[in-house]
Amino acid sequence: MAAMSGAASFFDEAVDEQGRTRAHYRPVQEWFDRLTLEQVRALEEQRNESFRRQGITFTVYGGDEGTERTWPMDLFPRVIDAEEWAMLERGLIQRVTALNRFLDDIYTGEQAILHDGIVPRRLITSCTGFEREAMNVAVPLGARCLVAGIDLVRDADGAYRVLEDNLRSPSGISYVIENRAAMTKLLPAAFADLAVRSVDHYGRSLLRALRSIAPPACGDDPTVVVLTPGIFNSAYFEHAFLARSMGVELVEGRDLVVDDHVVAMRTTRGLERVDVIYRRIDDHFLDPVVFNPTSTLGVPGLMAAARAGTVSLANSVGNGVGDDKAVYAYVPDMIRYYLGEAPIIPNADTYLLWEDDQRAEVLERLDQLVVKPVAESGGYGIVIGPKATDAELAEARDKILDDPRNWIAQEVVNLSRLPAWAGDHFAPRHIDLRPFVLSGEQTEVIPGGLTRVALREGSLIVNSSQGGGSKDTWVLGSPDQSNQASQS
Amino acid sequence: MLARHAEDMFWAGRYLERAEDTARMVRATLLSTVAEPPAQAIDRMQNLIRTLRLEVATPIEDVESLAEDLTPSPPMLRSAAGLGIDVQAAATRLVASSGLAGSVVFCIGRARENFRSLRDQIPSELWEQINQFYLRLRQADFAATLEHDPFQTLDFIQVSCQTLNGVIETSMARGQGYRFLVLGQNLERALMTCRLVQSRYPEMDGSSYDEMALTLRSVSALEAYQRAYQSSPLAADVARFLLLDDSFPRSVLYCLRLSESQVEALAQDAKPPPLRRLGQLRSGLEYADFTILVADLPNQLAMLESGVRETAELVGDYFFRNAEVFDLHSQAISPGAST
Repeated sequence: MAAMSGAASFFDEAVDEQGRTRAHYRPVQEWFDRLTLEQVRALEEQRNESFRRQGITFTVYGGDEGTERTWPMDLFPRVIDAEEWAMLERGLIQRVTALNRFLDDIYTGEQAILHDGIVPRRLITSCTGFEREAMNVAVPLGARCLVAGIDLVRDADGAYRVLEDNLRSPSGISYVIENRAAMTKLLPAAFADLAVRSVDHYGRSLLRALRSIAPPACGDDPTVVVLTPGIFNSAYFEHAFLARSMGVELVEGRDLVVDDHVVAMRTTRGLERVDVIYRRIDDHFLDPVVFNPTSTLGVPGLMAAARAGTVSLANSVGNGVGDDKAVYAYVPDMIRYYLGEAPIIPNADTYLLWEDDQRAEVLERLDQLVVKPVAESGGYGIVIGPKATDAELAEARDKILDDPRNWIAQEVVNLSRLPAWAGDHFAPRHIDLRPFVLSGEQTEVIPGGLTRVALREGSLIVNSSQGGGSKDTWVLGSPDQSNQASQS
Repeated sequence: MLARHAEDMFWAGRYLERAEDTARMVRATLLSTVAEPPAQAIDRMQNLIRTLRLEVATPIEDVESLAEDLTPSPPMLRSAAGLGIDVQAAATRLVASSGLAGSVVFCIGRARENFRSLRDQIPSELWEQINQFYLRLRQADFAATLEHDPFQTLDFIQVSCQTLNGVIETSMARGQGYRFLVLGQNLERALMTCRLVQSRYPEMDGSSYDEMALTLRSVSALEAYQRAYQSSPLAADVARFLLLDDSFPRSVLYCLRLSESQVEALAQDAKPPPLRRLGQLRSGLEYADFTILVADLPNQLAMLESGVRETAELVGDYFFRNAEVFDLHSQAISPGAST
């Protein structure tokens, strides 16, 4: 802990080594410097009231029956300059392209990457996210991961690194758009001198991507739906948001029926055929026939329809094999293998605990490393060595020895910092970034993404379920770039 | 449109209407009791409770039972010393008790839940308006505010409901969703007016302006009635106006006509069961000989009420639970058909 809190070991987003505000933060910093305490408090109140009225909330499970909380957005925005973003965009497209090639290779291809010994076969066959049910289920354009959320952090030198890939049902894009809508109303003057690139077009881009994977036989006007577990799901707000912004139906499992491998929804005028399903239900609840038989969220027969090619699912079933944290360690190799390119954004330094030599080293230094279960998301199950008690470390050691395949270890990444409101002043807090990448006919990155911030002093946990907040993320464009964005 | 969404829309309409009507009736009743002796005030409150069909209230689990003080002869109301205050307390329950199925807070909560599952279908402004309204009703001090300043608070509820209706009218596309909402609203409205006439008709003896005014104020009809009937104090005229008026939007006939045109526009078949039932009800009322109708009013109203309830059932069977009867392999599947 003491070693970690030295100020020099963090990269500051807004301030350089000499304590000067970095050029791309100058207009924002100057704008905030002019605000009085009362003005900031008034803005905070305005923001809370607006989110409350709009019902922009998320559900925290546990406690009494899951509580609706308003979305915590910090006022101080994150700014990314055009050149830096161009690099990130290339790196993200490269990474997601390689991951899609990998998923297609595993499920419908020859598994060339396994034959060639680039990725060990036993790593795949032992992966909980690997679904045999998805074998030979083809997806048009090979867009198995249609929506990806790639979590990025900046290390002590300011270099971006990929911390994890989210290839199943990454959430958060609705908050990106709502954050921007809120900031535009709260701080219109702050946008004045900056060409901030738009994020509003996400719904249109997503619909275009979904339509591009429709089964060829369904003609040129496919019916797209969003499949949600229902209003009690923590991300229901987002599911409704996406359906509304695409202008498509938001269905639940009970609204769909499958007969003779055709999926249809129950409407006021009988059954209507469905061609593409953007599903926000986990693999294991999707179809009680082949997965969890007790699931009432899913649709019996859905997998058989997908296999018959009469309906396309996004994201595809079985993508967990691509965002398993042990497989993650091989993504740079995938990029070299499939694309013949050097990875643009490196991984965080990772140790595979099933490799005897790496495990031995990790167990020596457990108190200096971060230990993560390979198939979890949302920050659950993570042990941060420098902050863990001896008992927690001992427990982690036992779990690793018990099932080494289920764990990885990483060097602690000292997430970069950016000012956030701390009750009566702005103070540096740790942040990460989740950009969203759409695949389909073309691969597209929405400018910016969800910046998450650990609102507790010194904390490195940014998950909203665990006291994290968010920030609007401003990607600056050169004037012609911002034109393109508004025309697209 | 998805059958589930259509059903949610229909019920959102019913709950919204029920909330607004309840608030209006409570307001009219309280207003009429201000200058009355306590016994009279209690009678009026009991009459209102009958109109709202809450004699045997339906308490929600784990919430203190309200049935006992909302029964036809509530012991609490009869025996307590400060009788006026108890009328007020009953009014507060009818509006602010979240545990009472049918209270304003309960209905707005249900309507909000319906709209919440329709968030992709409805204009954001509509969601924001009902959400804000609901959050205000759920604030800890709401019941106290209502008790302290009933008329202003009830005005707030009425204006909030009217704002919701304004948002619906001015921002919702006239698609199926809108029509199901309007259908739900008008069937509920027809029921409420019908029940009001049922319970208020015997109270109007032709001599008391107050009784007549209370009846009409309960559905915001006093001014329209005064213009149409030059303030005739006859109970029969009031009943004729509330049941049969061509132009007053809360008359039963008007509500049935509006419902009929929604079902006609929504139906795929020429004369589906809910449309037939509605047509029978509407024409029975429209072409009735009023002297015969009024001579047998209690029975006629009971038949009308059960007819409207039956219509709501038929709407459910025909529109919301129809998919089971379709054969997937028939032409029922029409790719790209508009919803």
